[in-house]
Amino acid sequence: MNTSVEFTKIMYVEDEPDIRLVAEIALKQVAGFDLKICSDGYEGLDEIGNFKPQLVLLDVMMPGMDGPQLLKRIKEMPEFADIPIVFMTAKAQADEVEKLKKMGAENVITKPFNPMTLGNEIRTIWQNYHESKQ
Amino acid sequence: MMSSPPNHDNKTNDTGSVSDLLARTKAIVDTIVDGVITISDCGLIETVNPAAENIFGYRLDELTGKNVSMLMPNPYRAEHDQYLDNYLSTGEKKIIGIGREVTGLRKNGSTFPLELAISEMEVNGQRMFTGIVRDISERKETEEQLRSAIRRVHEQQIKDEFIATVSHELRTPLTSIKASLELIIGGAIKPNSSQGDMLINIAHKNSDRLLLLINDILDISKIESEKMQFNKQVIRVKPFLETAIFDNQAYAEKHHVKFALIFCPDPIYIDVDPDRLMQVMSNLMSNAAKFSNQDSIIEITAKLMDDKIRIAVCDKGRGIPLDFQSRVFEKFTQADTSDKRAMSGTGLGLHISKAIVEQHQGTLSFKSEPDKGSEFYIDLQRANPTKSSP
Repeated sequence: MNTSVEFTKIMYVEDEPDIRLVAEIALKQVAGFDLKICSDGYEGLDEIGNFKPQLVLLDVMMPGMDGPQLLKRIKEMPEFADIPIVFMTAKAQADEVEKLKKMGAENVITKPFNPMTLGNEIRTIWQNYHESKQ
Repeated sequence: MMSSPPNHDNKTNDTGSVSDLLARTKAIVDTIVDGVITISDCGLIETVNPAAENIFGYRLDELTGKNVSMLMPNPYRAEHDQYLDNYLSTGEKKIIGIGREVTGLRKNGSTFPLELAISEMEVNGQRMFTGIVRDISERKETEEQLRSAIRRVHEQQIKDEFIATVSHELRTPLTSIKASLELIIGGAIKPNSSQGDMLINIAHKNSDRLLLLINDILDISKIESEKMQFNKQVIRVKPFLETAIFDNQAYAEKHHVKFALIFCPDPIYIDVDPDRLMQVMSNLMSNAAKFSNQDSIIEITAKLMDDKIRIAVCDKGRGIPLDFQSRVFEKFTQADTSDKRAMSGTGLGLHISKAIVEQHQGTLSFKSEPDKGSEFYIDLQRANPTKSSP
């Protein structure tokens, strides 16, 4: 995949219902993405094969399977091992961000995020990721 | 100075005389850094090297012929003679041949940690003991400094983790508030639309959650710095529980359950801060309401247990998962659940409640069985009524 491919599909996994709602408006209505929202890691794992996202956006702390566990499972799937995974976290400390990047996250967006610019932020991450691969 | 050891070997070698050998031995004993003390089988000091004089602060003439127990503080001093007698009659070794840490007593009355190794010997048919003593004050001090540094690092880690968790917990509702308002202010969503109403509602709800969280964090800070004020007064239990049910009726209505006072002996009194105890009751009752099935009854009871009273809040809800029960009272903990009813809590309520009850010299405990329900109970000391008791 390269940057000439249109970037449209994001899967977002988040357990906080209110954050899911505002992020859905931000990514669908404001940024125009084709968005699949899942409320926990297990649902994300079930849906990824059907939805085939180009980028996965993950909350870190979730009951059951958390974000880092889901990242690991996705990276083990040959079909999705190469798609960028971005964390959205309220744990904004630099060491936490570094830890998530070491796990294989492409980038980390800290909460609170700006819903008006979230889409563009994610597009830039996606573009940088593919440019770095070329 | 070390007194000369008796000569019990008549042989000499070709290169040195007996006196030369004695001089060498004496030089060794006099210059080693550890204290060397020899005692008779009656416990009387026979020889002491300069290091031992230095360690204990005595001169040689102040020690020779004295009982070695003078170098030990009580209770070791009193036990020493008994220990020696016991060894001589039974052969049971407690120190001999075994190094151990003991406490020494200096001439100036100060005590210090001492490493002691005792060996037994026979000289001209007479049983004697040699004690090698080493002042380990500095080592102990270094060990204590190390322990204290480790403790400080651990405390700092706990503080850092707490701050990171608080930051996460505050940012979560703040994310919903800020993003909802930015969508409206940024013009993405019109305020007078169904989505606009929904976003305002999200912002409002999360503001309440944020406020609750801030109040709980302030309470924890007060508890941990021991600055929480308690205005205790003697109150009657039954009207207090009736008020608790009345004040928390909103929780019951919201979750479609009922609170019922099943049993309460009357008049029984307790000496408590009624506002703080009401905070505990509200926490227990709201938890019970959140996790109960609709139309169920949450039972409030009080029963006497000797000089105590047990106030219990009992629900027949989902219970607490077994693997979570040991962490129920920890800060920022909630059982893993996808049920959004759990989201309305801060994960601090039970920690605060337990601390409040303990500040009243009481206990807060629970029994819970998954899918059958939970009972949280407060045990408090009964009090005598006063003239002003309500």
